[in-house]
Amino acid sequence: MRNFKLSRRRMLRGMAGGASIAVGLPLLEAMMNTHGDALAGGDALPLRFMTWYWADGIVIDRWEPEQVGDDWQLSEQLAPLANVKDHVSVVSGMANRTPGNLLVTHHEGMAGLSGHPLVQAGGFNTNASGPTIDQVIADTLEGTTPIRAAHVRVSKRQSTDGDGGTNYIAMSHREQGGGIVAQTPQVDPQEVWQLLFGEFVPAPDDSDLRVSILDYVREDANALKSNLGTTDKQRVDAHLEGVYELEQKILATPPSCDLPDLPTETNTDTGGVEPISSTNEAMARLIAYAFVCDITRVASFQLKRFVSATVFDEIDAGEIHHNASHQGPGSATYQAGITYQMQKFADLLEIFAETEDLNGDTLLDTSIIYATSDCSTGASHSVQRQPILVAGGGRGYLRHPGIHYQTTPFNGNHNNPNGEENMSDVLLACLQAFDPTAESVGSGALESTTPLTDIVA
Amino acid sequence: MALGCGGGSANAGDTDTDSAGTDGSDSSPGTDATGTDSDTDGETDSDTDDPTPEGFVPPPGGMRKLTTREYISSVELMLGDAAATAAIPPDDIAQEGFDAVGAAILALPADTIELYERSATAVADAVVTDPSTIQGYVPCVEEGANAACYREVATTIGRLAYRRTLSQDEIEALAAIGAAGQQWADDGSFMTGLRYQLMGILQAPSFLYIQEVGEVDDDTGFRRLTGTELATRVSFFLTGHTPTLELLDAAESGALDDPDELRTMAEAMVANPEARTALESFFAEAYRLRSLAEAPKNAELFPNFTPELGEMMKNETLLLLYDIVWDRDADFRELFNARHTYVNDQLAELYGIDSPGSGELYTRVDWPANQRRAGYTSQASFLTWQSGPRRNSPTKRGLYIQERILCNEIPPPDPSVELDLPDGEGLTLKELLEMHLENPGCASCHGLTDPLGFAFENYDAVGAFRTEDNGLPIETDGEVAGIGMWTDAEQLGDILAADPRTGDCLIENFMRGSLGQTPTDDTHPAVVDLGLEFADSGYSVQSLLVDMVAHPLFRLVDEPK
Repeated sequence: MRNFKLSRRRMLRGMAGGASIAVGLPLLEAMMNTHGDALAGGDALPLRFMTWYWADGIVIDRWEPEQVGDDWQLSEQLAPLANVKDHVSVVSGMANRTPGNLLVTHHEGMAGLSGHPLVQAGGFNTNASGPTIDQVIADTLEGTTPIRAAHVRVSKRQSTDGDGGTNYIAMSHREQGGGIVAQTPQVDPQEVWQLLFGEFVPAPDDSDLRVSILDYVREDANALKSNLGTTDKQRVDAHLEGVYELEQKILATPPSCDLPDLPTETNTDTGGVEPISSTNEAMARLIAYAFVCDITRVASFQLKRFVSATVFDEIDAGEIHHNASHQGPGSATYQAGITYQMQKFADLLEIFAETEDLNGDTLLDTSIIYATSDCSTGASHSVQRQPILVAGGGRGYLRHPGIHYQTTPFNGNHNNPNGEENMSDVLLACLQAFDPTAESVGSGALESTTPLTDIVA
Repeated sequence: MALGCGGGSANAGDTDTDSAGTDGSDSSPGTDATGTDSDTDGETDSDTDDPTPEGFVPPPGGMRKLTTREYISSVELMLGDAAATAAIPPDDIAQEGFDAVGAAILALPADTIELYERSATAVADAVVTDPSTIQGYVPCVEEGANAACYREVATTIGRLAYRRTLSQDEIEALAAIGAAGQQWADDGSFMTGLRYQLMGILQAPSFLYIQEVGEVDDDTGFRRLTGTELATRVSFFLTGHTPTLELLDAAESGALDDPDELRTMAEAMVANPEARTALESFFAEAYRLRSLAEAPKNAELFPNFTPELGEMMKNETLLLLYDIVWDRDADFRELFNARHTYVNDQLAELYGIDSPGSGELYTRVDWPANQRRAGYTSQASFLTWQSGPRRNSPTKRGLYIQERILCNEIPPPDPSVELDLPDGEGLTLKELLEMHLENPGCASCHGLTDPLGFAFENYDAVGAFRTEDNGLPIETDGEVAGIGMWTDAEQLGDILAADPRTGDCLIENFMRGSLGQTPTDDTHPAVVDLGLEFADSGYSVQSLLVDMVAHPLFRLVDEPK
């Protein structure tokens, strides 16, 4: 498989008369200054950010911890986080303030990643109206790494019919070419490897040629634009931003670390069963490696989409998780599916905890991971009590050990739960770790100007 | 309604009595208004265009990205089989259930540009390894060729790729990429330069995006596709790939401006075997056949379901379509009420019918009368895909019929709906789901879907026949306002076949699946108009393909979006 993927470069070598460049890349230490407290160029040590998403909600009283504040204990559905509990804060009882006339089911919950209300596009189709927090943070880091951000998804299953629009196709949205563009994730770990590391495999240097082709692409794109309307012009401009980023990557200095092996996992079904755990692990390892190598500092990670036909076969769910959610909070299959997704999150956090970062910290210490779902109670699609987890140390930015911040106790009504305060306050707290001058996140009723400081150190 | 029932279908005639809801259906408002005039025009036009239907506003012009299958089949035509096999364009992102709609409206995420570069590189590598196809177009291509040959490649391959004649500047720019590549190679290889030149062509937005902008048409006030834009649309619609040089020649000579010549050309393209492949792609997407092998099924409950069986289910539906559309050129609506199907031994075993003894080969068989099956919605492909891993989903089955067979839009649920179904102890699935229908908030949507799905409760989540659910007898009768009343799946199939929306919906699905357009109230008059032509032809899909190409719906666009 690896040979196949690399055939282009192997062939190029042949063509260039065997002039291959077999340079071993320097080790990680080369990235640090001599004191080990900053990058070699004098910049501060990197802080990373990732959004993580699980689908179809929670059972409120089995997910939210009973105790509030510092002395909280893991709830039934958060039990998988036992090994990393000190690195996690739970935020419960917050309201997703999407206006009632925009509630479509599931789609509105994606605002938990952006603080922007959705735009309806007919039926079960909605589009995002603003960038997600990962992209806002990537904007603050523009130009610091060869790659802006990585976007991955584990389950390949789709909504069986009906759901569409950008909120359905991606969890990450970016202002690109003047519009809001869904950053469709990759589902094959080998593809993720290619996008993160493939460019840095030593090969004959044809970067000038490739860049000259991109110049030609630009000219062609600009000529195309002259006949188009506003929407399509934005699409061409979005294309051109992608061209610019590819060019930056081609011209980037290779990272100062050895490249990881190409993963063997390809996220291929066997007998109709998706390899969820091994794909989750492979994706987590690739992102962890790219973070430590400082190839990128931002990622989004979607375990599965809302309403997807995903079956958690590894726990013998035997039923589509979304269908199980509609059997109500009492469904044992639904309950087990939530705990299972929390286990996948825990697996990822443990990989970050095992990964040593540049100065001896763990990658979990030096990252912020914001996790949420698309609703609280799946059966009623309520967006009151949006479930939120904030994990990692943020290089000392986040409170450690983590707390359980709760706005108001659960009223006991699963289908119509109570929520208070603005969930976007958590997003603003995350953004200020990267841009202390940031004053707001989101827009409309969901906009926040008051960061949730309780989770900050 | 009687018009369509005689169109070659042996079994559509007995439906009127059972389908009270279809008569005077409110879903085809254009029927009365346009019925009389456009009927005859469609038949008699000689050197004039089809008239533009009253009230019709064409979909916006603009650009749409090639779908992956359009990209790959274009590469195959231009650069050969090995190049097509090497092509790895990024996956399509469907919208409204069709890849082409996503390709028409979504902007590309930034990293997709790199994926297109990688695909271009893989294709170019395949071409320099086996240049036989490109040599057929551009004979000067060979190792040691003169740099002037890059101009010829740009002229001819560029023209195929961009679906128009390139300007001199464009040719020079592409030739310069080839020359720079040749200079870069240590050994001055022509083929290395060709490789970079092809990478340039395949990354160009002129290749990746189809432009459909047109020129203002004084007769209609809308915009008429230019000759090459129309050639491109016709070619992808009927052959699945970029237009051939011959078609581009015809377009640039103005031949497609003549409606008769356009029809003649379209008829020839429909007669070409490529049309069958292109139509099969459309059907596979529209009838949800592409991923059947990966349908999630519980292995304990359905140990017989395997990816191979999923493929067989797909073949069964495609064979019925092939029989109707190509072998017999029969009434398309038989798809929904045919009393026969195509099985091999394994499918026969699934259905519990006599084995044809043909092994892997498919044989035409009649459905056993006691199973009450008719058409696609009784086939395992539909029944399997529109089910859960453990049990049937009457909601999904009904929703698909509403949205993709009749093209009715089902509104999303009322956000205040509380959905807390009790467990199914001692109930059939139908009884359990009927609780939806007692709650007014749920019933507003589920009342339009679930009763349709109940008609198929005799068939389990992989399509096998059953007479009991949860140990209780099954009831398949039902009624949905605006559709009709039935006693079983066979009768519902007849109702679907007789419903005037069924023919119109195929046209709307072509708009989505082949043209990337979203049907709207503005386009509805054109759909109704074409639907009448479809009915006049006895619902011949072969005729519809030609009629569509000649219709203003296909040839006009509104202001670019």
